[in-house]
Amino acid sequence: MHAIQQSSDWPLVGALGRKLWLPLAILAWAGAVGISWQMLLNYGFKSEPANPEATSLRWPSGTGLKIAPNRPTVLFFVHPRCPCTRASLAELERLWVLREAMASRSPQLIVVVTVPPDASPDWLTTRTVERASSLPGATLAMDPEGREAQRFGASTSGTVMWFDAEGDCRYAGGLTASRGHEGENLGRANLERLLRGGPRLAGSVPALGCRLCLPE
Amino acid sequence: MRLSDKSTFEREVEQKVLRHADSIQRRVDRLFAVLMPLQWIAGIAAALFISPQTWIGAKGQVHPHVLFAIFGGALLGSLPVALAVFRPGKLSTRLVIACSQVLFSSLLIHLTGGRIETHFHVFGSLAFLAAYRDWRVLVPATLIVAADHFLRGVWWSETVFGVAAAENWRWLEHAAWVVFEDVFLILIILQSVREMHELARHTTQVELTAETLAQRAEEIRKLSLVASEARYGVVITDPQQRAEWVNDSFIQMTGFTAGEIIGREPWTLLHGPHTDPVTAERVREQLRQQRSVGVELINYAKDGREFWTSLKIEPVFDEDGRLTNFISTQTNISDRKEREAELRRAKEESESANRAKSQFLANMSHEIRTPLNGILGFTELLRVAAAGISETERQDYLQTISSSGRHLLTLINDILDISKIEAGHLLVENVRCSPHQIIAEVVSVLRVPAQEKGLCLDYRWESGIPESIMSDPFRLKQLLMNLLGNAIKFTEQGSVIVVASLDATTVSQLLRIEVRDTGMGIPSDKLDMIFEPFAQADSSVTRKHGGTGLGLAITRRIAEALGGTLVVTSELGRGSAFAATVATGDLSGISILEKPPQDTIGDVIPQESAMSDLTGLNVLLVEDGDTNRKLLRVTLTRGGASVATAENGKIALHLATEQSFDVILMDMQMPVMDGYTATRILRERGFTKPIIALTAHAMKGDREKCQEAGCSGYLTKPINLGTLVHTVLEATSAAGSTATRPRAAGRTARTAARPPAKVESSLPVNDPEIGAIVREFVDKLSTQIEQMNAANSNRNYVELAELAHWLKGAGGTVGFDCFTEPALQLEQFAKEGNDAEIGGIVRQLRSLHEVVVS
Repeated sequence: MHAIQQSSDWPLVGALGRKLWLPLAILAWAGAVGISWQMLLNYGFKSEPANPEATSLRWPSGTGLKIAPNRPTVLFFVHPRCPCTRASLAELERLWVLREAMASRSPQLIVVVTVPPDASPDWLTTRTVERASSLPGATLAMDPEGREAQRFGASTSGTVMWFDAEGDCRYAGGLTASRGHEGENLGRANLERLLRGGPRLAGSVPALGCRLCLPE
Repeated sequence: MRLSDKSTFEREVEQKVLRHADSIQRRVDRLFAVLMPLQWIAGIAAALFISPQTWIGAKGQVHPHVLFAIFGGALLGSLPVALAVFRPGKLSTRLVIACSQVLFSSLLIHLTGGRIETHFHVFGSLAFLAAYRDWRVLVPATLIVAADHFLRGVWWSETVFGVAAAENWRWLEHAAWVVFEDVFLILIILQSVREMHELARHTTQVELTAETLAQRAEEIRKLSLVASEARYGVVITDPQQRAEWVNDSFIQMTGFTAGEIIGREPWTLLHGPHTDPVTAERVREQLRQQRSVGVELINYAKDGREFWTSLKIEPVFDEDGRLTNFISTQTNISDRKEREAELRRAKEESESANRAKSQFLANMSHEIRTPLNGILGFTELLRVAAAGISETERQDYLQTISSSGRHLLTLINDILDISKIEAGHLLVENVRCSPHQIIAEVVSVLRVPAQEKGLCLDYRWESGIPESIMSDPFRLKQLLMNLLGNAIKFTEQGSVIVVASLDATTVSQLLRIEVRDTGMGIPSDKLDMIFEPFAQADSSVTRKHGGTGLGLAITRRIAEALGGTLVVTSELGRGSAFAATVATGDLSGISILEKPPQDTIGDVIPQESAMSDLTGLNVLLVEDGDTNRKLLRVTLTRGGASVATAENGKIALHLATEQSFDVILMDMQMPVMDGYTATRILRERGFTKPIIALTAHAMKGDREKCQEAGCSGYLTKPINLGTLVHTVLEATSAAGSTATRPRAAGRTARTAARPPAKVESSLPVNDPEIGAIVREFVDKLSTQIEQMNAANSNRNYVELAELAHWLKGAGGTVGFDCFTEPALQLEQFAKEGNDAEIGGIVRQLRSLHEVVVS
């Protein structure tokens, strides 16, 4: 009888298990999916800690880059191989057409491409570099070992800086809301306002991309 | 399943829909089970293409998106694929698949950097999910899309849309577009489900119809089977009576093919010269009146064969009462018609036979009355007016009475014969006999009546004839007597000739005896009839020629019983030839005579004188009929026999015990004790002398019956006195050679029965001494015989045996050998105490003693 009671306990558990496995499996699956989803989102917004704050910046004195005397100068820091930078470049391309309305005051654009010390000859031959340098009025500036970037405080590919003719930084940050995602965002809105000659909005978005080649 | 029931019908429709939906959903499950891995691979490929690596300065590493695509995609697809494989068709499966599918959209959108084109995956997925035909799967999918967009848009801002925080409402817009699509999809799903229902309903209806059709088809098949396989022929015609359909039986019955009949009026093919036109017209008239009709008439098959058919035609009307068809059924009734005709023929034959018998009885009555009148009339005349009648007249009257009696006898014999033959009781003997003798005897017997009519009667051989054959001489003689008697009777002038030949062409040889006459002949249409009992070629023949009309019937049966037959050829006015054949049996070793022998005697019946010498015979006559007893007694007494009479078997037994008889004449039918019983008892008691049966049963078979009982001879009544004397003499003389007793006894009996006139010693009695011895013996013999009588009377068998012993020795010694054997027997019987034999032998010895001459 004892054996029968024992065996009758297990089938109950077995029956419950047979009944519940599906909801349990679905719940487990949903939980795992939720966590993964959360992780994915987190990664999308994860930025480098050292993003510059525009208000505190001035055109640095020791730079080899030439600021334009009568018009603004826009710096676009690029890691040639960064996939997320393609979204930032796309945003810039979209905005850049607005400069035509500024006529003679249209800003100059310097695409600063950081180059590591032992870079291979094809380091620069990427689609991102090609597209950026082909923007109207753009100047491609090699930044060996990222010294210029370091001077300007830029650490992430896709960082945009707007300096007026006086050397004051009007905007410093990214152009995408999340990693690799185009679309409307505060960075784009600020840059658009600046290109239209209007006042900028408060705040900025961080640049979301790969870490630039910076000095050790 | 009876789909005609409404609720059953609806249930069946619902089950069909469910089955259909289940089938669809399982199929879509399988599609998603394939799609999920493909999406997973596509996600990985997209991640590798868009962002294969992430960089930290010059140092590149695998991009996190690639890892998300691999592991996140695998996670997303795992459960749905497992459920699609293991639990296809379940609601939970498709709900999980729906969630997974829109999460794949979310993943892909994310991996492609929120490209608006990637949002088409959402709409594609929803459309794909709509393939489930289950709007419920759209609900979680839509909610997840909305929630995903909402969460990204509100909590983590601008991720999925790439939209600034200020435009958070756009998740709602996305959700609205999804719902917009959902509306269409749900409409399509509902429409599809309705169509599924319609399809199920239609299918069920089709099945119901098919089921009904199958039932109808089966009914039609069975009905068709009945019609096509039925024994009777069936024809369906249009209202104009043109055949539209015929069954196999009709085709078999008529021999026409369906193609030959269809489109034609069947009667035009089936009617022929013997079809009754009145009946045929009645049928057509009834059909013109659109009435049913049933007739029997003769039809013709394709090969011209006639057959009787029972035809029934029914008109068929539609609901409006319009004539649509005629259905004709017909049965071949030729067999029945044949049987009816046979019955009719049998009835006619029976009636005809009855008429013939009535006619025969009438004839018989006439035939019997005529001689009876003669007998009674002349007897009365003799009795009453004896004084006034001259001797010549008296002789004439007696002759008439005698011939009338004989004629009556013939009649009765014929009737008995035919009745036996008709009952199948004609038995024949198979003994060796001489055909020459038989033919000669018959011709001899009938020569007188032939000569009286002035006819020439003779016989000759056309080939060699065996000296003897195996046959029944009595029946063969009867056959010839009938044929010759007939020939003489029906021949007024010319001749009657018997021609015999041996027919050696057959395996078993036949003796052919042909009786040819120059008589009136027989019409050819009556040739068969004359052999029928109770029939003559013309009933007037009976009146003119007399006879029973049975003779030829009997004769033919006899010929057949003797292994041959009887045929007749005749030419009217020229004469007839009756040819009888009889089997001869084995002829090996039998000599063949080329012509009739000269020494054949004239008649089978020995015409011995009634006064033949029967002297010394002791006869016991056992007969219950007074007249017969008296007649026979007188006949025998006149012949010299001493006759004792008994009225029945019992008295006869008593007498036979008392006395010794040389022969017993035993009537077989008697009251108290019949002849068969009496004979059997006599034989059991050791009576060895002849017993001659007297019987009125003149048929074959009676003789065997009498022999079986122990009779040694056989006479049929009425007794021909000549035959009687002859038979008695023959029996008593044959007893000596054929008796089962010792030969000496037979001889002694005969000796005693017919004692010699005198007995003399064989010794030379002239010699005085010898003569004295003989005389002494003779003297002593008288005393000894007296003593024997006394001893016999006193039953002193010891003394009797001693006396016999003396005689046995002494008789022979003195030259009287005739005493030796009787004395020897007497001694033996005396020792045995055989009462029955002793008396006879003593009497024999006494008789011998009486004639002893010393």
